[in-house]
Amino acid sequence: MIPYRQLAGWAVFGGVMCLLPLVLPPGILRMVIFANFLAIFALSWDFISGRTGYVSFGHPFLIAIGAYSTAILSFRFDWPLIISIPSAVLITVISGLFFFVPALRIRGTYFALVTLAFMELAYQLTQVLRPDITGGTRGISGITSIVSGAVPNFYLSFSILFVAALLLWFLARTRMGTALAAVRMDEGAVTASGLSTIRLKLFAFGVSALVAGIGGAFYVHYLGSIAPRAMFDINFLFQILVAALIGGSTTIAGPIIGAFFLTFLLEYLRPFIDGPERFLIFGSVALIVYVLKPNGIYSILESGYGLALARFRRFRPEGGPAK
Amino acid sequence: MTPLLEMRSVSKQFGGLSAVTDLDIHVDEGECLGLIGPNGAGKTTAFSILMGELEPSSGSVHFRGGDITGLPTHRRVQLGIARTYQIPRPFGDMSVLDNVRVGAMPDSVMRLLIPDRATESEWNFLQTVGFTAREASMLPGQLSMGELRKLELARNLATGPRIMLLDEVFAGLTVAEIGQLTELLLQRKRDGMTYMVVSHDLKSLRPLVDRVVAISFGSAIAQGSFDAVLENPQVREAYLGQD
Repeated sequence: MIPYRQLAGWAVFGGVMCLLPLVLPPGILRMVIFANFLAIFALSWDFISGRTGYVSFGHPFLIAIGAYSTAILSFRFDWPLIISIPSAVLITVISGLFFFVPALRIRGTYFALVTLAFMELAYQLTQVLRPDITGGTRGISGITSIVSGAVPNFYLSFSILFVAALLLWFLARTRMGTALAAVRMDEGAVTASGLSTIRLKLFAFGVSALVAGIGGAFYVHYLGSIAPRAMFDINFLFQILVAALIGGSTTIAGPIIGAFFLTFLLEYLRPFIDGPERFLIFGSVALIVYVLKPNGIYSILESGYGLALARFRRFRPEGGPAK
Repeated sequence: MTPLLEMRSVSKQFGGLSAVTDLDIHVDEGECLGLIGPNGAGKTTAFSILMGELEPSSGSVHFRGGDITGLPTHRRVQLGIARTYQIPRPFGDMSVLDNVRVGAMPDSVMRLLIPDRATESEWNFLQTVGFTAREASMLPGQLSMGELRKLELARNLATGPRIMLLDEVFAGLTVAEIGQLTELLLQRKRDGMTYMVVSHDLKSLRPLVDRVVAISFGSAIAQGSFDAVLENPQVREAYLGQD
């Protein structure tokens, strides 16, 4: 059965987003670009952590691999972007599979800590290992842009988000999506059902790394610079996690909603609280949403839509009079 | 005749504790073997070793004569060995139908990348164990213990087993549910299914089994027909208790 309603939802989302440059000023549009990238990262994180239950605290590591690879290849070695970006994505996927190898043996808190350790290790190595290539603590600036201006960058970032979201939505609707959900619920029972959980997890890790790598590579060309302190910032990690969780983990729309909510919340808090205290506020908001609605903003919207639909059905003429 | 499934001189130690010691068990094709013994005798450990969920400290496991000791669990399931658990392990956030469909999934990434729709054979597995269409959409949390056991059985059947290891399959069931389950298992047995059944409910076990092995402190102390084993003085002392 073709999911017409969901496809229509995607079409409306795509249509509305494409019209945004007509109504939004460039300043707001730039915020939307950041929201688009955060949504890509949150989707990528959620595919591994939300779907399979392997909570990764090292996701910026994957994003940074994609970002640094294309930055180094294009800036230091003058590779054209058309080659440096796919190469960076490939490097991210390979590194991601290596990065997630510990997950084949451990899970839960230990897995989260190992991935966090990976991120910290990469942070330190980036600063001291071949600073002539990585730029050391100062990073690299002057990285070539793919397109210039708010509107072209908006369309580029949104295209990547839209394609990534559709890809993950399709995967979630396949048997693979069901199998990955089963891994989250009881890995032992999945094995006892005749499925190799190693294969399933490697697939999920690979897809997650692929999306993170694509996002990271395009993100760095949008920013035009990269520095280890910004890339491996713990706040960056929390933004990704919180976007996925308050939006609605294990859904595709949820991390996108969460990313937009968080980006605008942080930005609109800026005039009132300029410093890092903003993160306290967003942490509190995230906590409130998470405690009141563990399934996130998406579930609030979904139940609102359900109520509205029920009310509409109750009052439409062929439904008969309300009693 | 080569046994369908066999464990040869298997021992399993957990630190200083010997859960299973030099245990030999075999089950022939089409046979139903009962495993009895007091709590902590090593019955569930034996099942876990047969499934590859636990690695034996020594000894080997064979399927149709071939050594499968080092084979991972999912490969054993693909060979045709399936098991149920003392406490059923459903996928809690999935419908009854989806639970069964996980059992029917192919172990291939490419073949998993197709739209997730229920097939007729998956529905049949549910109907075989007595689920209705309404129950198929329920969540495991809404089911009784008897229904959970049926669900686990259906998921096992979906893997296409040659032999099923049933751990305390009658525990927590009503008399009526035991009757229905026994009838279902006997029906499958007539179709050629092989079983190893662990149960403390000897009354329910009796109509099902062809042969019984009694285990105590990880070792087999008697084997033979149901009545003969229960008459065995060692079994009476170890398992049933004696004045």
